[in-house]
Amino acid sequence: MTIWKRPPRLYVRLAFLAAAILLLWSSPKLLVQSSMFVAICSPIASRSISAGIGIGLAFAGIALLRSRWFCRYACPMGLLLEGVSRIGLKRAAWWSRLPQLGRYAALATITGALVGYPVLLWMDPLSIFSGIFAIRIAADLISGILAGALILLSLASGTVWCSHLCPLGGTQELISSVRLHFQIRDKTSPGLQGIAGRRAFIALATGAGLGYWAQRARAMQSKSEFLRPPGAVAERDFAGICVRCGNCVRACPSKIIHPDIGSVGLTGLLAPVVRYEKKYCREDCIACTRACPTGALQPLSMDQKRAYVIGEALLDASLCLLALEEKDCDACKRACPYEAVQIHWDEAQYVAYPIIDSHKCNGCGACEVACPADPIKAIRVWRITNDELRITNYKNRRD
Amino acid sequence: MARDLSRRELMHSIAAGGLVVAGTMTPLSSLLAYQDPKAVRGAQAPTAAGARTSATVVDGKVIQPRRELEILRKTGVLVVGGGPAGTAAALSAKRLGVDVTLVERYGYLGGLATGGLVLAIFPLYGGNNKPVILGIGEEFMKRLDKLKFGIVERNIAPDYPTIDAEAFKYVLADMVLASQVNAYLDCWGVDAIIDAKGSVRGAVFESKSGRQAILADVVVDASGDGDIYAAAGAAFEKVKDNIGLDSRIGNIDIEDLTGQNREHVTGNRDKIQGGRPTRGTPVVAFEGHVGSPTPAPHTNWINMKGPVADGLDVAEVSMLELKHRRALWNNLEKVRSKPGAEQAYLLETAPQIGVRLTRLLAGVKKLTLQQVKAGTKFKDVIGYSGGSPEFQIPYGCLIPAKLENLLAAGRCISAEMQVAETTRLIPVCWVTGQAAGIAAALSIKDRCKPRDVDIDKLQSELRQQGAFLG
Ligand SMILES: Cc1cc2nc3c(=O)[nH]c(=O)nc-3n(C[C@H](O)[C@H](O)[C@H](O)COP(=O)(O)OP(=O)(O)OC[C@H]3O[C@@H](n4cnc5c(N)ncnc54)[C@H](O)[C@@H]3O)c2cc1C
Repeated sequence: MTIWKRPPRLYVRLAFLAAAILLLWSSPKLLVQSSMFVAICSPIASRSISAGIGIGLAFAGIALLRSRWFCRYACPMGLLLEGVSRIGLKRAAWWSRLPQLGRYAALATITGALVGYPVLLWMDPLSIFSGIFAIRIAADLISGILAGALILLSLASGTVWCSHLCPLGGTQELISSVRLHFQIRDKTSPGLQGIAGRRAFIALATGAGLGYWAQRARAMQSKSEFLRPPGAVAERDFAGICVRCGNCVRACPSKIIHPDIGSVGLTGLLAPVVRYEKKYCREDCIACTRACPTGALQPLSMDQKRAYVIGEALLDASLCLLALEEKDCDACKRACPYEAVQIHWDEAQYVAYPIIDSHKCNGCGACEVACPADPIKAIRVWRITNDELRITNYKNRRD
Repeated sequence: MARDLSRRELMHSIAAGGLVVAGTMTPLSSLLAYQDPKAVRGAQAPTAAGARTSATVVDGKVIQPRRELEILRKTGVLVVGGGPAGTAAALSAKRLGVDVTLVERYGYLGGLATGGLVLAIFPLYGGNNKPVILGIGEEFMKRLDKLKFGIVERNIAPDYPTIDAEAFKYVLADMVLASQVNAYLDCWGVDAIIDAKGSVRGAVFESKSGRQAILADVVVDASGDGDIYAAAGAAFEKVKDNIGLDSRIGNIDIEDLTGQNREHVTGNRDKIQGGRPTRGTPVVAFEGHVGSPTPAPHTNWINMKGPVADGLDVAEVSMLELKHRRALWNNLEKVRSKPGAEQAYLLETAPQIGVRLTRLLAGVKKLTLQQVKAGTKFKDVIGYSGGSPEFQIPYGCLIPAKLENLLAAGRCISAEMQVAETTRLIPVCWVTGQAAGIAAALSIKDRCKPRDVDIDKLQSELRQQGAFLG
């Protein structure tokens, strides 16, 4: 590349970066969907399609003609990492002999998606880039943890991510190898044979195996307590389809969605969970369901959202200030937007306490936030382990 | 009552009223209703000479004959009910220099806040823990602040204060005595007086002095139940609410009862499991409620929600009075089985049963839940209710849709039931009471109907008296 050619490419890259950041504020889901890796895997995994993946597929079309064009011109994460890797540190090029792992990661994820669990989708660089912007409150620093790891990696080892590890780069190589296979002119190119072989087989097997295992493992996690944002698909699929882009975390005006560490185990790492501390899931908001690029959170209408069961509010009367006759409290009843809480007079015990109508309660957490019991709230939203129960409710309101 | 004033209290009340003018003391008679020459005193015989006025049975129906009533007093502002709203109304009206008369059916002031043993003063704060209830309510609490064991947990939002009922009775008695408000206690308002046009001209009372009338320019109905506006024919909504009976329990040592230690441990709290509760009816066996601490040492306050019942049905209320008191003794026996509480005793059950909502006025405006949730701002705002978020209360909620010369204050104002569940609370009753009192006084000074009171004047007078209007 000659020196006079460089500036134009930089301009193009900066323009794409600006576009990416613009998208983050206007339509964050499109940014992630413009990753062809996501655009290919998540519809397969979630068995649902969103118009936005058109952008990703368009880029896939370009990849068919020019492999790695996306990397060279469009990828904001690549630009960031390249910038970082220029910071003068002495680096070992230990990785130069490594195989191109990115394409096997992509292969494993696509087969995983076919099984229902796209194992390495969370490695998508555009999602990782989005994640940086979900860092708003200290607790969400971990939204940027993947980006942080990549930056550290680039500081220490240069552009290993882009050249060897990135599954989005790998996807482009897979796509262009399809073209090369049919391009007879270029006989030196290995074409599809180049990737077929032992490694590819291992990748396929690993993707399918891991995908199957992860789904089983997730089913077993049913005992732990955590809540997913409204619109979340069945728990056994959720953490796989979710790309950890942080869009939902960022979209939530109540700031109740957090990337998880620990409560859902390894397979759920960094996937969004809902915690009711200061705010609840508002009855007039569907922001997170609209921000999800992969369908891990299904887009809901306002009616569907109100019917979507996040969890169920349950009362521990031994903590309730009203039941203990300490205060004339009915904070939960007042707070409930769905009128699911009533104060019940128990003539036999000669005491009053709130009772919750589980048909009206969608687990929005308004009562939990309002409950003044200290240090443990008397009324809290608990997970409903039965996904059928949780999800069918809102699906009936599809029309 | 007044006869028993000690010399010290008397001096205090006179000094507080600022009545020492140029070396001459204002005659005591002008301070105290019972010595007021205008007042009619003693049991009153029927007037129409020799006429029998007892009820008679005519054709199986009980008939009360017509009779002329003795006029107990002519006044400017007549406040019926001496609870949080009524005391706030009377004291605030008096500050505008009009003649004010306050009548209460029981022998003390404070209503449910003292006689009902409702000791928790809530909600005082808005969304961001900002105090939104100032004005006369804040004055009351400042007075309580100065008393030993008068009030605890002041100004530590979102926690709210707990008061001592006797301290508050004292504060109110002292302020009323010092204010030159004419007060009649042990005196029930039983009817409204209306003129030919249907406008309110006063109210009829029943006391040991018999059935007497008080004529007034404006009446503030602060009876909690809208007794006077109902009698005068104003439209209202009748509702039912939980009726309980609060109590105080003494000599409990299982808690830090000084009110200083906020991390107190209470009754069942030590059994905290924190595990997933079952759905539906809670499976807890309550082993005696000890309630929560009050300002008084070793004394706890026990709140009772009670069943939903009709607070205007004497039979229902009587049954609850009896059942609640029986239940409170049974509770005490359970409490005594707790370690450290063996010597506990039932200090008192509230003299006054805990009726929450009965009548809700059909006012010029009716405050709706939707307005509250939308944070509606009113041109005729007279104050705020605490809550998250806080909300405005318009003057129109105190004015009957049609009836003239009457304002409502306290828990019986014009609001939807769900809103009234908040506007009925003590601090909000102070707010509506103060506004009603000032508006009534202004209507006399400006010779207009209460509904025509100049809102700017009302708001500026409220601000002058320290109220918070945003
Ligand atoms: C069990 C219970 C718990 C509560 N808990 C809280 C709480 O935690 N915090 C809070 O802020 N509020 C609480 N409240 C609400 C609050 O105590 C009352 O709503 C508030 O005191 C109402 O004030 P008020 O002046 O409008 O009426 P009241 O307090 O009822 O005062 C009305 C006064 O008028 C008198 N009166 C009535 N009729 C007549 C008549 N015909 N003639 C003459 N006098 C009459 C009454 O004797 C009384 O003194 C509680 C209420 C109850 C019952």
